[in-house]
Amino acid sequence: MTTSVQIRGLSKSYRSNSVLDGLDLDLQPGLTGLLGPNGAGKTTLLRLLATVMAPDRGELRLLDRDPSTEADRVEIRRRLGYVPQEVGYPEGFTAFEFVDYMAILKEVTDRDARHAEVRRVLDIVGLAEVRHQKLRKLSGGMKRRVVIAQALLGRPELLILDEPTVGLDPEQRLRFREMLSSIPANATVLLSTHQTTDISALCQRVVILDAGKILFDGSPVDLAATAAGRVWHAADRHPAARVAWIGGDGRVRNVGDAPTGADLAEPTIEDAYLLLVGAGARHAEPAA
Amino acid sequence: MTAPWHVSPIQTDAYVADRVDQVTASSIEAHLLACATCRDTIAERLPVPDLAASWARIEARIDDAPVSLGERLGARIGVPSHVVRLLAPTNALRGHWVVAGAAAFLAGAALARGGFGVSGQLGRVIFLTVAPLIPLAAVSSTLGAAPEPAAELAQTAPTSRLRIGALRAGAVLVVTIAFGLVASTVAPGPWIEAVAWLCPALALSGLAAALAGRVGSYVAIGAVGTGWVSLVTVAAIVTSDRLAAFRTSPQVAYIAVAVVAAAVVAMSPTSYDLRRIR
Repeated sequence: MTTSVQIRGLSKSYRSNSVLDGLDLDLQPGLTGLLGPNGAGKTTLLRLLATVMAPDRGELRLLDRDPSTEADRVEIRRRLGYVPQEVGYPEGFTAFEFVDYMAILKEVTDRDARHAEVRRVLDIVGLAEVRHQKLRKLSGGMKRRVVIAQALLGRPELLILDEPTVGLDPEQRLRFREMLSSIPANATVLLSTHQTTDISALCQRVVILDAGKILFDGSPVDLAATAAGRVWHAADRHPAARVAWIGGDGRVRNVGDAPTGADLAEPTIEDAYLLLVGAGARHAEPAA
Repeated sequence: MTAPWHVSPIQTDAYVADRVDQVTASSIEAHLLACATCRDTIAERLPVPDLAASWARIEARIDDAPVSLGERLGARIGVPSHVVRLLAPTNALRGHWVVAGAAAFLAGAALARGGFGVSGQLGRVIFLTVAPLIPLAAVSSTLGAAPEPAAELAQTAPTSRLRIGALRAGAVLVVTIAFGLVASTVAPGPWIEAVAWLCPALALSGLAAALAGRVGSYVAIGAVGTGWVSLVTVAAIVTSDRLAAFRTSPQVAYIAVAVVAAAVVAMSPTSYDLRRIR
């Protein structure tokens, strides 16, 4: 299978703070989920892949091109879609004007073709009706969808999504999943999120990053399997549990080293994530 | 109510084909209001409008219409819509910037006329010294990430930052210089002397653009602005001529600086990539 993203020994530091440390990773077409606690280096990795910044050390190839050279970087950017974690919105623009502006920056200068493409992506994210409203009048979730819309311009081959579902309500999240499912199979999508349910619903592969290193790389099923025998139900929190919470049925779900004879439960990728990330789990947000 | 008669097949054919006279058409339409049978007959014969296509055309017309004043003006003078939209986020082309720039030029011109209690020659020196700084500030406002809406998104787009910067810088230069020229007509003395700020303005703007690719826009504008005021002051002290920096020989040098700076900018497009420039 084609390798769209090839990372070898990638390192990035901010002053003396090492964020990524000798990372190796290959990505192929399909949807890959990226999990990790805050400060794990996810956003830095995504910004490197989106050509926002350059690595300090290591090799990076995107869509079989070298982003450190100007010509290759331009070509990569033509085939790239990016949803950053935070966006400074040009509040004076309408949703249509903003996506139109981004389409121009993506070199679509023919007005008819550009406007048709802008309408297409705004329709995908369900904002066709409000496209002529100023961004300042849109809710946070709607603005997020505007940013997702611009990332879909030109049907990108590499789609980098940094917590795209933040601010979306449950229905919008489901629509987002539907939208991601409709992306052609030859596109490579890297989805960073704290929502483990999004990962299990969408991704063929999940990568867990912690302190700039990869802790796990495999399928969501394999990830959940790492917690087999370590999740159990009980009436109370068990002292051996690393994390425990009361479920909807009133029983306490314990995650940790199960005692003999425990009432074992089917593990989820959230359980596995909590066990893998360890102490960092206290920073991770539970799935909605 | 039951209609006493029905539209004949011949009348129906003629009506559907729009071949009936006004009186007959009115008579048929009055009858259709009362007769459901004839309404159905004629409705079956009329072509069904493609509502989806019509709606899509209406939406496209709405989307294509230039919305802002700038876009309407741009469209009127033949500037392509995508160029106008690229210029839209340029602060220096917005009302408050334009008004501030025009006010600064006019205040300078008033000084040159001996206004605000300043003597005429000193006022002229102040006007000629300050005037090039206005285009410099306007051009500098177009450089770097600050003027870019959603800068992180914009920097992952393939369009050359140099191209966008040059487009915006060119537009603000044209606007500010136009205001400056108008203000210069108010200034006293020969017109050629009143526009002696023009070549320095081009040189300073070019120099700031060239430096911005290396040291960032804030440092560039600070260094160039300070350097310019220092140059005017030192030239005046050394030559005992307050207008020394605005005589013919320096003007030639300013043109040379502007040309060299433009060449430096053109030859180093990657310096303006937002991942390097802040």
